Amino acid sequence: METAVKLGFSLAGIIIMLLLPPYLEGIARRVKARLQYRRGPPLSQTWYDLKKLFSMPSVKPTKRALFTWAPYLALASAISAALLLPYGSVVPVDFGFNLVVFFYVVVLVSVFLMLAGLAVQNAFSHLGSAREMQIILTVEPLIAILYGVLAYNSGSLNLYTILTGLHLTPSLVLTYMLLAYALYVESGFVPFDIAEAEQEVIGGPLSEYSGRLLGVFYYAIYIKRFALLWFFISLLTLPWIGPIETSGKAALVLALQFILTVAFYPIIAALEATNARLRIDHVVKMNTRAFFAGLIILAMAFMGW
Amino acid sequence: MLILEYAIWAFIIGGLLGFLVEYKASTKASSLMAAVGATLLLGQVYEVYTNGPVTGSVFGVPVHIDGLSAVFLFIVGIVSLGSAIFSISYMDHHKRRGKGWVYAIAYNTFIASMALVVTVSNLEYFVTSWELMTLSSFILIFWKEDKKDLDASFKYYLTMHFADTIPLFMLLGIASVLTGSIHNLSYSAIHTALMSAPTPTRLLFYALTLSVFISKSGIVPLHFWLPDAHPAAPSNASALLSGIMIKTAVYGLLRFDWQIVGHNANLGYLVVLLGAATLTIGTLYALRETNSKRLLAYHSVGQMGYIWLGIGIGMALIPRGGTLAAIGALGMFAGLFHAINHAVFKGSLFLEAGAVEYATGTINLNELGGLGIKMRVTALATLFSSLAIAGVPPFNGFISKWLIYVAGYQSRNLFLAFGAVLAVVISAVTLASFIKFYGAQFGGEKKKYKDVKEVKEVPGSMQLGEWILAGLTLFIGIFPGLFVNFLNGAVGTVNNGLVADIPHNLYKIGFGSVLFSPVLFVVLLGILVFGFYLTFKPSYGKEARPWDCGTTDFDPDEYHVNAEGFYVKFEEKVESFYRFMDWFYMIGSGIVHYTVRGYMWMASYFVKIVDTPYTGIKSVSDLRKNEVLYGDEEAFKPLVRFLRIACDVLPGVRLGTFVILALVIVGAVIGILMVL
Repeated sequence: METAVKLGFSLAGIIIMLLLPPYLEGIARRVKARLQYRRGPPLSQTWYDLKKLFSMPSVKPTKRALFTWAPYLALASAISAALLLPYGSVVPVDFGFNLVVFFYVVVLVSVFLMLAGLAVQNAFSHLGSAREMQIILTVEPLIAILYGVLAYNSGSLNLYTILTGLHLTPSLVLTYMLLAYALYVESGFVPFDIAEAEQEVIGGPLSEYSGRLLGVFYYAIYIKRFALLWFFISLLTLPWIGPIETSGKAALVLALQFILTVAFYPIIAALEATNARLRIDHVVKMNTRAFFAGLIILAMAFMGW
Repeated sequence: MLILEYAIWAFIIGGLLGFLVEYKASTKASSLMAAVGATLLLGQVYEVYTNGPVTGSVFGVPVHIDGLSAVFLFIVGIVSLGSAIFSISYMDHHKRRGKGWVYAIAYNTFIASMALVVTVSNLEYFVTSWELMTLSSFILIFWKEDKKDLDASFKYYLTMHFADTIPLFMLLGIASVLTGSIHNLSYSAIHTALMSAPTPTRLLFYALTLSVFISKSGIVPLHFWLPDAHPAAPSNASALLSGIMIKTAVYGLLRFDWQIVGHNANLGYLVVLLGAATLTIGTLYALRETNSKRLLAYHSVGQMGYIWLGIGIGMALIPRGGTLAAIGALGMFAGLFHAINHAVFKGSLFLEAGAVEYATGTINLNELGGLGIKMRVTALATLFSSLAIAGVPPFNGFISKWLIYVAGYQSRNLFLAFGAVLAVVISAVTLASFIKFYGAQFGGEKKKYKDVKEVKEVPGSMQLGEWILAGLTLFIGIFPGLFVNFLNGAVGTVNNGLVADIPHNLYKIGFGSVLFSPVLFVVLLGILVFGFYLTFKPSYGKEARPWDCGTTDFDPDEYHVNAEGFYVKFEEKVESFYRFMDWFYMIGSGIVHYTVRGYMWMASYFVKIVDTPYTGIKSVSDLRKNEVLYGDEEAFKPLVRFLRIACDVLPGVRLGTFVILALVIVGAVIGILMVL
């Protein structure tokens, strides 16, 4: 494909990635409201919220520079992660199109969130940071194993190779299922929103944030969730579509990715609305079990199943 | 004359400068000379890198500096440089202990001996330098003479004695039998002799060398000495211990078990197994540690596991040939790269722990906190190094760990892939541990440090020492391509020219189609951060204390989660693992205990307690508590007594000590002549 088309797809990707995430949140809020027999807010309500937060000054609880910079760093990491995903067949900024790099750039969002929580002298934000870390601690092993299956199945850690070279095996199906679970946990949806639990630890690492800085952090978290979902959907669809040679097909693929992303969000919202938050030890336990299930899947993959 | 020789001269002068009378003068001058020596070592590395391997001799000791030696000499040079500059002011902290000259000699000898370990080309001198390294490091660990640290240093010395010294001397014996002469122990001669040696001899050679290198690098069954010994030393010496000394074992592993004995895939699987076990055990133990230097020491165990894992993948795959050999070379490359990176960030972390100790006087993470405002420079250096060891892009730890993952994941071998999975898992644990490490020391604000004048940023030379290493974590992370040829020189040296096929330029590094461009990533991240920052500038309204639910009678210093409580739930989940490993630890310390008992039993025949004749000697502490008389002292006692009486009965003639010594020597010579 020529440069102009690539540029077009990149631009489309950037627009989707920047504008869609708050709308997805809006869809989720609508769905949750309907499940509870409420009308629910308009779709762009999350945008209105962000706009309001951005227009308000922040309260300053500490002199640490890290406290000010962390939200921007988190947002930049989230956007970098989203820029590393395929839109149609085009990756907007390819600084390392492989599983490990993508994964670590996503984790960077959490790293800055935790550092921000630790920058202030507040037990709640420390607690939230520690919880966030414990979730990562238990979900990362699972993701590591599933990446092992994907890498073995396709022969490389490179995402291009994975997106074109996966074979359908029983182990791959199981991998998809566990990966969906792992990414759901990593996104911090209910019942895994333990780190930012409002009612318990008053927002966890975010508890001292307010105004514009809080808005930046929320935006970063929405984009991170979007990136993880878009990644999962790309992994789910692209390997079975075959090579994308023409820009027409690429546009169709992009549309498919878009529609699926929007379609998955009500499911997530339904899960969120019908579950209550777990305790941290529950999550640790569940993730450990999932890890051992993952080990079995890895062994299956190496046996060729 | 090699630059190395000038460097050794610098270290000798540095050691001699220790005899300056004043404590501060002697420590500062000798640290400065150590820095000069370290710079010269780096000069030697640069020369080898540009002009190829050199052969020569240093004070008559044959040395051969090839690609492999250059990589490890670089580690010696760079960490010593940071640590030595740091020491110039840091050693003031230990002024009350005195003994500046002991530090000066041991510190300089330690660096010089490590430089020799990785460059000499003869087993005889290798053993000598190795023993010198062990001895000088023991003195540094022992140096503070704090009561709680004495056992740690004895544990270290005894472990080294049994697992290092004895096998090394047996090795000397075997090698001299193989080559036919004790004077013909050059590496090439041993290699030739081993090629035609029977299998049992080779196995024995493997067993002995592995015992040496496993114990020195703190690999799992013999790691128990490390977490006690490294924190016991002053922080600048801990940086050398963790940054360099344990890497010399990796050098030995590649030089002896790979290059000299010859390639063997089974050894690779063993090394992978040891590496994977070590990285898991070391790091999980580090997670629950609340003493900052012990935490770092346990992480040294864990990170050595990464290095062994990478090198093991190389050893297991290179003999297979074809594409697998290419992945193997990548693994070995990544392992060596991680050795450099670990030296850089761990050296830096120990220096920063030392800086915090210098400023506050404690290394207990539960007590520290809120130093971020007072010690901005150190805080940022710690943040950089912490992110580097946690493997976060774009720092150097990420690049080497990532290459290890790539090698493991793409090896198409369940065992090796599982090793890589463990490595990723443990990477998360490392991140957790260092979020805690950073947060507990620099996070929040604490009154007890905020309002105290004495707690302030450390002197400039200490900051410089920290930043030489902390800055490198980012520099290597952004421009890893600069190190590819340097490291491939080492991989090629031990693999008959096979190097890792790593496409790289200034912007990209990777393997096959798996690429990463740190420069692009940093630029993108930078543009986004500053772009958003400038577009949506943070605007602050009022200032307020952190919200504490409106309590009134409350110490704000206590309003935080202390280091102990950070990952309680996770630690509870893996508690059975800890219990299982504690059991192993008990066995290990039991072995040490009974070895010591046996040793003491033997020693008791040579030692007498002076004041109470019938007291038995049962443990090391008995030796420390009582005044003892050794066997050789007892043999010479009549002569000494006679001389003393002679001095006393000749009141007019006051003999000086030197005269007495001269008389003793003359007497001994006459005695020997008469016997002959």
